[in-house]
Amino acid sequence: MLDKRIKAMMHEFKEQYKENENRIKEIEEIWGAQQEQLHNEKELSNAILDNIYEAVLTINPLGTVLSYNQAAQNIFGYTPDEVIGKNVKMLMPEPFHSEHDGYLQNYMQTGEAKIIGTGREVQGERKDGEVFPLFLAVTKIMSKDIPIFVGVVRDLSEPKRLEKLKNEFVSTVSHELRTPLTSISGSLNLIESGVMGEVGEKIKPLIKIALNNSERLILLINDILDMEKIESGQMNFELESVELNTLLQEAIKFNEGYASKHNVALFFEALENELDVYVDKHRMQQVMSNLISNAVKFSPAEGIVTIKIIPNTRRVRVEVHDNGSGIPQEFKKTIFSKFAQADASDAKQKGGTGLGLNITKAIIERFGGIINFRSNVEEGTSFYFDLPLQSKHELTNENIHSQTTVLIVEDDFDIANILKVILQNEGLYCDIAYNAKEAKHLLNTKIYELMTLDIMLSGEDGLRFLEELRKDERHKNLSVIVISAKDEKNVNSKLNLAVELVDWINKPIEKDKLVASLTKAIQLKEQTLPKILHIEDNPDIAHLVKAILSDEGDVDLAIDVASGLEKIKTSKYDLIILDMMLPDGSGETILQTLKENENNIPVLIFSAVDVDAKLKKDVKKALVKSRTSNTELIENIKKILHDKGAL
Amino acid sequence: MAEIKKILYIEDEVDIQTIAKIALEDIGGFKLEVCSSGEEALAKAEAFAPDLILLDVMMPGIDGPQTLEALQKIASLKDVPAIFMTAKVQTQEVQHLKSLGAIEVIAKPFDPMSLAQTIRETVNNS
Repeated sequence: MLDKRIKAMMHEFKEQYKENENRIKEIEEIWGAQQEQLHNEKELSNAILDNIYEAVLTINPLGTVLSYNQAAQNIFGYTPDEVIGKNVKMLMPEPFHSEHDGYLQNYMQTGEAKIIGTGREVQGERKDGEVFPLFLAVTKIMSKDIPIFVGVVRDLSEPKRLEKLKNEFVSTVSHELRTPLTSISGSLNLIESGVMGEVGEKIKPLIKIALNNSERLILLINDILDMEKIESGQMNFELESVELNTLLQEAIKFNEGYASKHNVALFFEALENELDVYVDKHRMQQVMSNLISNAVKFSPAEGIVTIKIIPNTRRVRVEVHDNGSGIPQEFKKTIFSKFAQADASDAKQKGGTGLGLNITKAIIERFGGIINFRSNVEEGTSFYFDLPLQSKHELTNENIHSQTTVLIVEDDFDIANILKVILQNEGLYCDIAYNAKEAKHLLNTKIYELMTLDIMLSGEDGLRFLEELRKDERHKNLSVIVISAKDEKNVNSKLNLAVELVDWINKPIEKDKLVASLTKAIQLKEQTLPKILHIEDNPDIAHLVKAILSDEGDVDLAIDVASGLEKIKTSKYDLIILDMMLPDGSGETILQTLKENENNIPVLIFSAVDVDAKLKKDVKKALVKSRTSNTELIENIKKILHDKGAL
Repeated sequence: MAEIKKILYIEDEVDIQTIAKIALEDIGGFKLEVCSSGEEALAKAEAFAPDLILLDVMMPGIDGPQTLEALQKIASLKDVPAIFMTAKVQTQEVQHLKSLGAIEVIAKPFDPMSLAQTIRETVNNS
């Protein structure tokens, strides 16, 4: 019995053993397969790492190199054996070599990063001692709770060499072209002048053709040089405070000869008061010459080109108008592109290089301005640019009215003119529209701070006009004071449904009430501007952004992470514009703090390099400075503020 | 500034020399000593005793800036005003040339009909 039981147990034991053996074998097979897969995967990642163009190396928090790929070997000249296990600073020249331990320690203690999370141009040192420029981007990954830093390095020596070569080439070519042109145009000028003796009547037009075309070549060379400088970011600007009336008068004087040659008159609507803008005088003259000569070229004979200044509270518009036949519809989209001309024959007929407007736009944008145009067959073409006014002309109590432009919409001639006199006495600029159609036209052509509206306009209901206006994106924030013979109470309920108003004044108009209402309107507009914090250490960019956004918001500046955080703590903002590379750390610290404090202020990253996808998730938008035009920046900011309800 | 009568003109391009000669002698009424290189100018300068030095920048051998430096070391020429005429007219280049002691930098191509006038005005205003 016992024997039988022992036998059964033995059997069971053997069966179990066999089963275990099989399981072990199975586990061994799985293990083997996994090992192989792991090995293959490791080989694959190594192969990928070794075959990518960028050098990739990983270091631990002490700076010890853990891995080093083939491209790193090609760039630095060291073999992996010479680098792995050593401190990464061996790949850096002084002063980075000595300072590197400090960076890492500082980062580990404070979390303030110089490079981590972003990227920047630094210097590297090859095995042979050659110091070279490189772009380094570092990210942090966690491996078993220990941070590991992954550095991706791109050798910039070749792109830099090519850039230098290109610059030298452009400069040399332009010099080489100018030298023979000096002889050609010089000779032609002497012949044409007659000092070398009389030229036969049949030859004269040919000399003129040759002379015109040599002049065109010179202009083309100048424009190509400018273009090249703009594209390589090497156009130097000497920005200074300049009085606009004087500057435009000089520009007109300079272009008068050209205009009279084309039988076109230049007419300047100067301002009585002085306005300062912050521009490079020489480049501003180039802009004006471009716009004036374009307007002259496209004017009919005996045409008039009008240059005028239209001031606003924070900006000033300069407009150059011609009464030519307008810009063809299909050309409007590409007008600011390089080598843009309405048709190929244009260059021959009108002269010019097709680069002028492109250069003009680039220059205006560097002044913090915006350029645009309107054009139609009946009225001709107006090119205009808006420049920020110098701070001394920004709104203060003394000049609150001096740059404000008001549109008076009133069908009664006498009342309109009484209003105009009252407003002008307050130092305001006024235009009158006698009906809604005129008002719409003026609103679309000029910038107004304020509008007074007679609610009983003949021909069209003033209320309907106002409703229509509010639906238009451009005018929905225009301050409106309604002037009416009707009693406010009778129409107020109807009006509440439709639009927001600054004030309501009943006829007959009381001067004091009107002036009080105007002041209220202007102050209200001020208070409602969104508050924007710009965190940026480059003063030029800070100035530029403040200038571009002068109509969109009150821009406050912080020049580093610490002051940025302080400002966020103490003030309320509707938007933060953030540079990622700041002197005392990375913009990421700001984002992190906002997140920790559950602060939902929208953030727009405006930085020199693109940020990674993870960061982009935390912000409304990330724009790269060199790839963003002023218009794009404004559009994005408007959208963010609009979505937030701040606009 | 005393009236300019004699100009030491240094330019390696013969064609440009021809035009400048007409512009400055026939139209401008100046007396010119034309030199094709910096070396030639250094050899002739003292004897010619110019009232103004007008020189090109890019020349084979010693270039314009080096020539000017050498000329200014000659005691009798050290106060003679100098003007560069160059096709390299980028702002930085112009500033650099002025920092070498030139009173003006005239851009090439120049207008031969107004060159003499430009030079007179420049010297008077300096």
